[in-house]
Amino acid sequence: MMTKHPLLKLLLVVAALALFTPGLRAADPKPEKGDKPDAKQVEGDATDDASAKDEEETKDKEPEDRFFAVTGGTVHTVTNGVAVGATILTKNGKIIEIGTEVELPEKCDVLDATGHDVYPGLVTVTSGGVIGSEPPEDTTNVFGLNMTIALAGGITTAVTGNSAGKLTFGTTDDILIKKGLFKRLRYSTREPQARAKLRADFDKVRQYIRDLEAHAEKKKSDPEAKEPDKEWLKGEYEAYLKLLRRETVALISADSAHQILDACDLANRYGIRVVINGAREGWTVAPQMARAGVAAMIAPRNRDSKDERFNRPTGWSIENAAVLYRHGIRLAVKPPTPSITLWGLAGRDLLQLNMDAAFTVRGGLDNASALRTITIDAARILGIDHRVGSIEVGKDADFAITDGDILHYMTHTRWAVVNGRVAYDKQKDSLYDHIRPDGDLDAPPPDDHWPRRLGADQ
Amino acid sequence: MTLMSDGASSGVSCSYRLLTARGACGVLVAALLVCGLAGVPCAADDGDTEYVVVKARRVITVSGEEFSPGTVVIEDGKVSLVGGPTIEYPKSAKVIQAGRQTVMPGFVLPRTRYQLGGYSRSGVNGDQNAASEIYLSQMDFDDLLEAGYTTVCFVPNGKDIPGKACAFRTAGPEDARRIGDETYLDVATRWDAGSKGKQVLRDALKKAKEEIEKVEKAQKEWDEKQQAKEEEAKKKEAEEEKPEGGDEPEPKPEPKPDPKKRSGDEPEGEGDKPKEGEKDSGEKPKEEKFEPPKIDPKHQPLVDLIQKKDGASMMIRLGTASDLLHLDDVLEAYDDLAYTLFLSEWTYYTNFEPVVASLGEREAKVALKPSVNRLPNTASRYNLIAKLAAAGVEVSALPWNDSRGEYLRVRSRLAESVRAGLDADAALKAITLYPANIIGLGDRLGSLEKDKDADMVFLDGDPLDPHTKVKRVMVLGEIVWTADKKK
Repeated sequence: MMTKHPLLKLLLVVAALALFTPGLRAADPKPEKGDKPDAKQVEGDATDDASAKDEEETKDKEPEDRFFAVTGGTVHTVTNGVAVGATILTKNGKIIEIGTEVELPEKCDVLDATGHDVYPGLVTVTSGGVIGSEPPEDTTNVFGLNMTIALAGGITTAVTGNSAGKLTFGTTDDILIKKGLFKRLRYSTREPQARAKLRADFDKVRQYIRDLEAHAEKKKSDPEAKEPDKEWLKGEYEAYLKLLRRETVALISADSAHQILDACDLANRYGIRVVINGAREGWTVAPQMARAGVAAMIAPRNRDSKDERFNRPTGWSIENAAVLYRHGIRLAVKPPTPSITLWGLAGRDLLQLNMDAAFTVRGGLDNASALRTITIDAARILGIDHRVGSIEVGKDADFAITDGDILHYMTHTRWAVVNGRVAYDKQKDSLYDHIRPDGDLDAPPPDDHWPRRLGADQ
Repeated sequence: MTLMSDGASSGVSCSYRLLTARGACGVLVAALLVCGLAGVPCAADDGDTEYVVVKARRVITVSGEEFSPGTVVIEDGKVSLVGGPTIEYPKSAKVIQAGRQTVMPGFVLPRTRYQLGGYSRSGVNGDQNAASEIYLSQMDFDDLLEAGYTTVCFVPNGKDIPGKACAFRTAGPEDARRIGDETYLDVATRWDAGSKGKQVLRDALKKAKEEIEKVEKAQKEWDEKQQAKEEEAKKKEAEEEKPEGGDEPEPKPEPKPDPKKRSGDEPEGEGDKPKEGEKDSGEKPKEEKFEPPKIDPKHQPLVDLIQKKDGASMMIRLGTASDLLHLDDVLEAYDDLAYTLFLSEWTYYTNFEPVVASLGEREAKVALKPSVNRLPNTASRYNLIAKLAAAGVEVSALPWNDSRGEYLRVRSRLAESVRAGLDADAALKAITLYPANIIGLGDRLGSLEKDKDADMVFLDGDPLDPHTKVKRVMVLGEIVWTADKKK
């Protein structure tokens, strides 16, 4: 069995290559370089040269450069297609080179991912108990079981409070990605007075912006023109000013159609950037949402029955994500329960974020787009797509390396890599090590699976 | 006679002479013949010193060799010699025959709230001291004495940094009860989700650093001003010297610039203390003394820590392994702060396994509640205290809570740990020497060595036998508690 195993794997890889190569060739002679192979090559080289120089300069200094490479896997870059058997080279937690002919430095930790699929680490737009509360860099339990469970689900970036952070197992370095993700707004028909006040406040701040513009004009002719009063512009007003200037993003919870339309109305009226949290009936008002330019965080498995009193479509739809996506609305998929809970079959929680994305496929979304909802699009909605969400040169070295298609229910995360460090290894952790060890369906579970090991040797 | 010691203690006192079996010469052999194995009273003392001698079947020094049977010689409340049955002591010594009992150093409890009430306090309170809560006359230390504790360290209550801890003897003469005025600063921060521990400690240390910088800046400014003054004075001196042509160079220039200088600048305004000792003491005093700006008393202990003042230390509470990494993040900016650790949560719930090696590397001093348990979410048995001790950590054992039952059970809890792999020697140190080190009194307490305080417990068997009971407690050479009397 054991001797057969690598051979079998090799056969599989060869078979896979034989199957896929012609198709890829037809599309592009160098598919692994993505859509813009030249640009990428240049980018890669530039970074490489720069890094080489850096290396020379910093050689004497204390912190030595940390190289880490993932080789042999099928790299799903999300933004630049799929590269079979490509090597990803990372330095100090950032990707510096992707390609089939990457030369590895002498001192470099190498993870052989042959036979596995390499995805960018998944991004969850909501989470509880996976990283610490605000501020996450101070309170994250970096040896926590929940963190390990989330990493086992391929998640490497999570949101807590109003910050986005990494699941940096075993280290407190580089946890925080971004603070102040959203400005939460309450804009609900149940609170008419609060709604009216919000609009009045927005009007006041908008008037201030207009006054400021008028003042700038006036100043050209009259240098001593009086500036508009801004004594009152503190606290909430300051936040609103940032919103109206589109510097920040508003997060509004809205599930029913009329709530969504209200949020869209707010976005249209004031030109603010809005993310709708929930959007269960979004499929019924998708065109209006698209016109308002809002994004949405949806839990595709959150169900709600139809309301027979209305003479229009109501309730949930399995097609929600697909309909919204078809209308050009950016989507992030989240689980019905945003923490580790172990409720229900196949999880309704952060245990299987990929299953929630897969559920959108059941509703008509294509695989690639479904993957985007838990990677790059989720990152864009959070405003952290310059760091995470896809495998690109310059981005963070966060990977979910799986033993199959990440949207398949049988797929397990074999390794999770965060900031260029292996944060989870299925065969070394006791959670799933007994299930299809190393991707082999027939292999027996490890001898020491029970009693479970976690560093103990007694 | 030859003066020799017995391995463990190398003390040689001038007031009387000591002998050991190992250093035997002819005279010693004679003495042995006379006295047998029961210790050797000999040469008269000088009268002033009070000697007490304890003879027991077994003497555990903790820091060194064990003697069985053994003798402890106590001189004015301090151990002066520990040895086998044949060491020599003055005739006038009061001999305590402990018979079949085992004698070992009194136990030290490095943190407790025994008999103290609850209250809440938060923020940085370095000016507070648990000693302000202690009224010895109203407290009953019987429970602690019964368990063998001779020294306990009281910690203040509250969140964040509640204040300094203070060590007391459980018995003994009034004036010797309070032995550690300021032991360590208790840092009771929580580091988990929803808490601000990391921030609190970081900010507190930052504030302390700012206080130091404030003083340094004031000192610098003052120095500069002084220098400017001197230069000015010199200039004037030179100016005045020139026209006079050096006729009378010595006596005149000194007094002359003085009045001008006085009137010209009074930078500090207040607190100018005239310094005497100038050549012309008849003139007005011309120098002021530098008065540093006051340091916030709430942050004073942290200032002491950063300045590495002798004995300054803090005890930091950790809840999980992760907290140690967060602590390192905070302490990174400072140069080797002295700290000890209190692993506060139950090992049942928490897994410190990932940082055991790291704790060992830094030779940490750690206090915890010993329990043989299992790793969280696994069926693996795990003996944290043994792992820590093996890694090189100085582990002190705490009772599970502040109650008579748990005080009495500390030894059996340790015995359980020993059965599951803890070194027996480390187990005994965990209730004596190591906690003494934590409260900064390792040079006075925690073991039976020359010049250490004669605080001892008399046990009726092996200390790590659950059936063993404390029979007598000695503080500074006097029996202060007896088991039979209690009944």
